[in-house]
Amino acid sequence: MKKIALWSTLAIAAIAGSLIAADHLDAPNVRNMNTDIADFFAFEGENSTSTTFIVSLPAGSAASNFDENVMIEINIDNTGADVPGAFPASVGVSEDLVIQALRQGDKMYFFGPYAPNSTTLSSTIDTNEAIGSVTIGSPGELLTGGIHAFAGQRQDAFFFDFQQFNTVAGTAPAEGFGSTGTNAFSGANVNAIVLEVPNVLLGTAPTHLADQFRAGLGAPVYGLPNSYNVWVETKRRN
Amino acid sequence: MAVAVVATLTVSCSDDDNPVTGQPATTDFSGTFTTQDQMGRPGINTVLSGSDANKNNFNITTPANQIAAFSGEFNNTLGAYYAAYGASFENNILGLDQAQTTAVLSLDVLQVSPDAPTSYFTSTSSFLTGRTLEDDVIDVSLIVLFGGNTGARFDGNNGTPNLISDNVSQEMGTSTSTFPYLTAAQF
Repeated sequence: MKKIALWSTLAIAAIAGSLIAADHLDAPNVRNMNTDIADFFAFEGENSTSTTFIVSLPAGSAASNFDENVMIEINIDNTGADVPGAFPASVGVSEDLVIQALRQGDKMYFFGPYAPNSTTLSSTIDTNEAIGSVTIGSPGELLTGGIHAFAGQRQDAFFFDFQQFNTVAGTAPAEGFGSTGTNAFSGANVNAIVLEVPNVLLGTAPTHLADQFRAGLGAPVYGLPNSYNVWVETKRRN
Repeated sequence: MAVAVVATLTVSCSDDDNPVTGQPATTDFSGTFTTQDQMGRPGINTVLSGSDANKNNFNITTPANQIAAFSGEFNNTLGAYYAAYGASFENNILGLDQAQTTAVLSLDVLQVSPDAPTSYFTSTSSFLTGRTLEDDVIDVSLIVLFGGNTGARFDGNNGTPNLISDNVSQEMGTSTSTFPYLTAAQF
């Protein structure tokens, strides 16, 4: 029965959406909504003393844009597990810092990074933390704190043979993914924000969460470098 | 006259968006904003949340609560993928068993190191230091889920299904090494 339920779910997903990116259309409540996150990246870019964040939302046409009532919030945990060694019983990952973005008119306005006054699902914007804005589609601006910011339409860089994934998950063919694939995201576009943030604004990174997990298991640690724990949310104005 | 000028300015300020610049008369950052969607690592909710209700709930569960709320569900989903192939999980390349793997993945946050080169996975001693635009995150996820302790279990050889690669690579020209790293949209 479990297998049948799983097949049904995935079959419905395959019919409902031709494109599911890393997070595109991942759940019914956000399907075809302009709160649907397409993708999230965090990496060391051109500047080794900064961390680059990219958040993208699906862009179905050149006319699509960021919603003026949907705030994009990048969350940064820079303290890690509260009780090292107790993971996962006491995880403690929390939004120690946030960077917020909200479009108004032809500009994207940015705030932070700052410690939010609430770590729940509900957030407000502290306008005292404003760091500047960029015109949507412009090459980008240097904001307060040396943060390099961009907002506008870009190509979707994600790649995944999503149709074959659905086939594998749904009918378990003997060949699995086989030996060839088709990128379901070829030609897709996104509305993206890009933020290159000096690490000094993000605090000291904690012990890597995977090593905290290993320590909690009493297993040898991997020896990974200290790392922030980051994630992104879209939040709609009530 | 002065009064008339003030009145005119007031009217123009309360107009709708300026048709030339698209700039609104005012900006509004007030109010409370409530979570609709969230994401850390790629593909987690899509692949491991079993039902629509769980997919919705996963998007509005704060990370601190995700392991408690979803590791069991993720474990069941992964077990069902294996059952469909008449197989069972064996410890993966990170040395994790099925329950540990799904516990780690149910905490959907991305690690990024400020002091090391970024890679979603390079080797068993160098991984999860971030996610670049070029990282083949789907293959990495499949290897962690289906690759066994060598990373090559279910690689399509010796009569096994290929469950560790979707055989696609990044589309040429969708990313660059310079800010803003993504190339211009093409409709």
